Amino acid sequence: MTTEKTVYVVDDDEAVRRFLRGLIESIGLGVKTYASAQEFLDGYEVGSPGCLLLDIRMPDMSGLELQAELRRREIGKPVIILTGHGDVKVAVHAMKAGAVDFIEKPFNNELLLHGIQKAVVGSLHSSGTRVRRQEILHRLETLTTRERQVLGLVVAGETNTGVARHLGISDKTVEIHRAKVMEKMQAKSLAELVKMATVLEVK
Amino acid sequence: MDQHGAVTHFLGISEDITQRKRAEEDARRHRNELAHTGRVIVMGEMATSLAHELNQPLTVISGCAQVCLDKLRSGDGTSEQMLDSVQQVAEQAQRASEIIRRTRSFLRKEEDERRPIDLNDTIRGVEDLLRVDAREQRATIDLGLVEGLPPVWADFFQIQQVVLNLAHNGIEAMAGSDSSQRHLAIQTLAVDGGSVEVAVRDTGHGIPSENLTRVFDPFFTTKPSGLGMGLAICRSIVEAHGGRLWAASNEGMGAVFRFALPSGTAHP
Repeated sequence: MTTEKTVYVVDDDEAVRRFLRGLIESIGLGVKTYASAQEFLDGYEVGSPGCLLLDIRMPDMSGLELQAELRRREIGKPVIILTGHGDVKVAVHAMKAGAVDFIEKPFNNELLLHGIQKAVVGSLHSSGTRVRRQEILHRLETLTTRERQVLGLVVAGETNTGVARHLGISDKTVEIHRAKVMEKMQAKSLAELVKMATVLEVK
Repeated sequence: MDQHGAVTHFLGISEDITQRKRAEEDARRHRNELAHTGRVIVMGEMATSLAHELNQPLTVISGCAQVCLDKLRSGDGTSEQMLDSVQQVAEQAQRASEIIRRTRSFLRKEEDERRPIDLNDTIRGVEDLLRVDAREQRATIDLGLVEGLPPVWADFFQIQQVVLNLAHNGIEAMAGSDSSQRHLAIQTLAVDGGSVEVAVRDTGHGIPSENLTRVFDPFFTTKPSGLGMGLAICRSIVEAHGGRLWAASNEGMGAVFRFALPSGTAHP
């Protein structure tokens, strides 16, 4: 058993694991890497504090299945999900299943490390979250009804075309609404928008 | 011929075959275009898998480049650390370009070129692309290739395309199964009577018996985004090689697609 703060990296890509190891070690955290969900579950030791960095696509078990397994085994580590482009739907599911953050590959190193540090410290569950919730609620109130509908569909993983079909409006109009939503919510990326929506549990 | 061996008379039959040659030429060109269309369709269906596969090296390249930039700006990195990052960038750029190279080589417009080929080689040639596709669906692939197969007289790339298409279909068919039970098996065997057979077996939901022959009809599809042309094109390629392609299924136990090509080292 170790008390060093450890980041458990589960990613089936060897090159990505090697890079993440170097990057995370550079901020003085311990790193353990696993090529699959099963490998992690087999090698996991109770007690070492830290967080999980989980690629959502894995050969043996999906990120969601692993999250369920972690709950079953009462491994209460904060989970950060790594996704590829356009995996919004799975990311939303992962967040609802309790992931603390999700980060798109390729990522900004600083953002990733910041997310990891936050997760390791567990600051996400501090009172900071409540304050942030209020802030986001205020922004949400500035949206029109239509913009709210667009927000709901976008964070549910719909493409612009999907949103257009649902609402019976053109793709172009959706784009305009979507830009407006991002602006009013002060979201720099779709990932950020989804995170805000998860905080509020916007359906 | 006379007693000195000199030709005195000449008897010959001549026939104008321009028309027939032209018709054959047209048919061949048509088959090539059809085959190429099939390659474009199946690659299109694999685009998401390929995009995800490219994203891995790009992630490392982008991350390492940021590390180097940070170190150069702050001036606190050792050249050894930088060397390691740059080394990773070089390796991953190579890996990304290999993925692109494979895709391009699969998509290129080739003339139909028949020669004696080993069917195992066609399968090994698309193995990497298939593993990319399987990874996306969290399926495993088992190759059961019998060594020492007799050669078949065929166009390497067209047969490879048939293998890729059948395997891709199989992988997609398993998307609804339990992820621990998604196995695709590709097997080869030499059959008595002078042919070589390839079997592509999945563990998906199978094909209802009434659809076993219809799946080869143009525009028949059960996939929400499918065009229904893949199998029709596969069958036309196999038949143009004097072979046969057919499907069998145990409902709930998956489907198996087989094709057989006559063995030989010359045009049959």
